Amino acid sequence: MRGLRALAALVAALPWVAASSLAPSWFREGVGVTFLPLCHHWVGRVLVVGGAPMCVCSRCAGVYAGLAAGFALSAPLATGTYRRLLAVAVALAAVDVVTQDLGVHAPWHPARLATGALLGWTMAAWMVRETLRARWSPRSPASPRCG
Amino acid sequence: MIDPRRFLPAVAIGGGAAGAVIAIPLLGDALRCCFCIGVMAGAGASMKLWLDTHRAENLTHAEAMTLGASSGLVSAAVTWVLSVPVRMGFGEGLAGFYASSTVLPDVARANLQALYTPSVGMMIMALPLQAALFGVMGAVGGFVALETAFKARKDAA
Repeated sequence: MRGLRALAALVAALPWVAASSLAPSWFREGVGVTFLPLCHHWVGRVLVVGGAPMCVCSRCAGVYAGLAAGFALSAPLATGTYRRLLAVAVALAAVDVVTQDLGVHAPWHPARLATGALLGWTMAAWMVRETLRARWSPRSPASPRCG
Repeated sequence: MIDPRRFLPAVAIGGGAAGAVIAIPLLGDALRCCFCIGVMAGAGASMKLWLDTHRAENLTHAEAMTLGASSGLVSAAVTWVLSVPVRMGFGEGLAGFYASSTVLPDVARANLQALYTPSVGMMIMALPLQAALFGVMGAVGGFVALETAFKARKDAA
């Protein structure tokens, strides 16, 4: 379980690892090719780290950072709280996307990062929490199972 | 231990469809802005297909994540397999098409060109990374789908 969480966190952190100045160029390029099908890379929406644009836009970068953080560190919240938090995270991201694309405000990296990170963290932390909860609580004998 | 083969053929259909859409030039490029959602939606579609054909069964969180991860792996494989002939046969043409575009911003143009003209080494290196990434996103998609769209089919265990 810990190994899977660490692996998932590492995979989700790839855009940030590749953006690090310590990453070799072949690794940076390979990660870039991997993420190319998954993001639009519109100018003004991509963070520039160390003089080079990241391989994903700032909202995706936030989502991936949030996922990595959530896989590494979850909070002991109730299922209902996580569900409400996910709804809030989706709503905040949607409001930012709509207002930005309607021209109400220019793309603003801190907001894009924060809304993405909240979304990513909520999903990953909730996953980890429910998995740990299932491991701690014995399976109900009344639970209907087939196959 | 959950055997992912029990989720066939649902994950092959749902994950395969998502992977194919991601790999299709122009259509995939137009939808590029939401494709981590695409992989997750593929996992959700796979879950819907599986639940519809197994009406007497419910899913635990671990099973939902396994189903989603399997769907993501299929998406990665399909995307990669379809992208190889597209890049080999039409890569230069597509890169030229995007290079001549006056609508696209420079970064998007450069990235679309890079998408269709990677070196063979980078294409090979991208396969395991893509499989891991799509697998993680699929697992997240499977979990979220079970907790939101298919709550009634959640096994409480």
